[in-house]
Amino acid sequence: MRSWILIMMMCGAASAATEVAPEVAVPAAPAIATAPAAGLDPDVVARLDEVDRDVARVAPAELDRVLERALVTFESDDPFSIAQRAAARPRTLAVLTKLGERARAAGELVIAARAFDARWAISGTHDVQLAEVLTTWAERDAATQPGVALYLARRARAADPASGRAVELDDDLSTNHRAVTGKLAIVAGVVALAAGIYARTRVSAIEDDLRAHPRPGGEVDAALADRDRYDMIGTGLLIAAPIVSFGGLAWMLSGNPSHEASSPGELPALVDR
Amino acid sequence: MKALAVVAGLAGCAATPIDQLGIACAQDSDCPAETWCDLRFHDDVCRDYAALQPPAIVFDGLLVADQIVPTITVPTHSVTFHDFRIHNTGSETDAVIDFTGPACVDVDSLTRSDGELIRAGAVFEGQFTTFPDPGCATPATLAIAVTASGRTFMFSTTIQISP
Repeated sequence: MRSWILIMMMCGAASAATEVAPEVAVPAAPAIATAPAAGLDPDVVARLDEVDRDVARVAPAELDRVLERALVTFESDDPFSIAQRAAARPRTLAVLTKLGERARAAGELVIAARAFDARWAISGTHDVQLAEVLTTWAERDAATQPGVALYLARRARAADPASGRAVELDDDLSTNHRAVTGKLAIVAGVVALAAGIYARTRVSAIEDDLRAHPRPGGEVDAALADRDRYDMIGTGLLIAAPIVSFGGLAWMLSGNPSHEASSPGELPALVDR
Repeated sequence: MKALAVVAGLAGCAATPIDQLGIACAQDSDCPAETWCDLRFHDDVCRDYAALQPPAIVFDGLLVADQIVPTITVPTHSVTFHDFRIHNTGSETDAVIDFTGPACVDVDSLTRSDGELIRAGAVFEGQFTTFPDPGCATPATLAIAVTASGRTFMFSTTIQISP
């Protein structure tokens, strides 16, 4: 038994040892640089130059590919790229602005949104243009993809809290528009029930009074007419009350937003790996 | 299905029919249209004609040897007993039957003063007495008043007075 335990412990130790990445050591080789000596690495500069040229040159529909190249430094998780992010930020923001504005002007709403979204993530400051583009996108897809539209509206609201359109759209997509009418119907049903019960008590009171003592036929006819009127109204209200109340409840519940905010595949534009 | 049950239940709350309402009355004019005042057995409530007909008394005539006859002959200076027949085409009732005649004829009903029970559609045979004074004009007309449920049914018949 002890032998088995010893063997199992040794096997466990062996497998744990294999999970650790082997350290590559090249004798007499210089150390791998984790940051450029100064400023931006020439490759990064060249890439940003190329992106800058392509923004003005390629067709608007192709700008998505250009955007991917612009974000390489911010999406790569190697120490060398990470070390250059601060230095690359100003040019990247400028390129993203240029790219986004061109895409927006050309009607490429999604590409523009991605460019501004990436700019927002990199800059860390409020982005009015992003909010505008996301709101436009959300308004376009609100009817067909309410969950996506809700996500876009909320992202626009986060990008620019002062954006009235984004706030309005977020509230609109998050709100049960049937709540007020539904509640009114429920209250109306309760009121109808109370009124119906009152009318029924009037019927009973008139009938009791008619039983109590004789009176001229004319008075009896008038009392019976009142009784019939109260009876018709009361019975109608008692029938209508549950229909109106439960109808209002069903109406209100049916108006609850059934969609949850879900991001489209294109966002967020900047994936931090 | 449940909705229908609810509607049916609420319809059950509908006002009581007039006939079952028990509207108090002392006479027919106290009752709404199409109803009558039922004073039988001290009910004193309005009844719907469609549900229950009021008592309706019909005088069949005087009886002799169990046969209806148009008139009878009665002697003077003696009390004699005679039979009559009525029937009820309405609902069961207590009926008070009174006979009256000319001043010279003493006529009395021998029926119960608090009323005779006459069932719906049934025949009732009762008795009355006569005691005409001598010299009373003949024939004499007798008035018969049958009061049932506050309704008075008036009839008349004639008797011959033998000297």
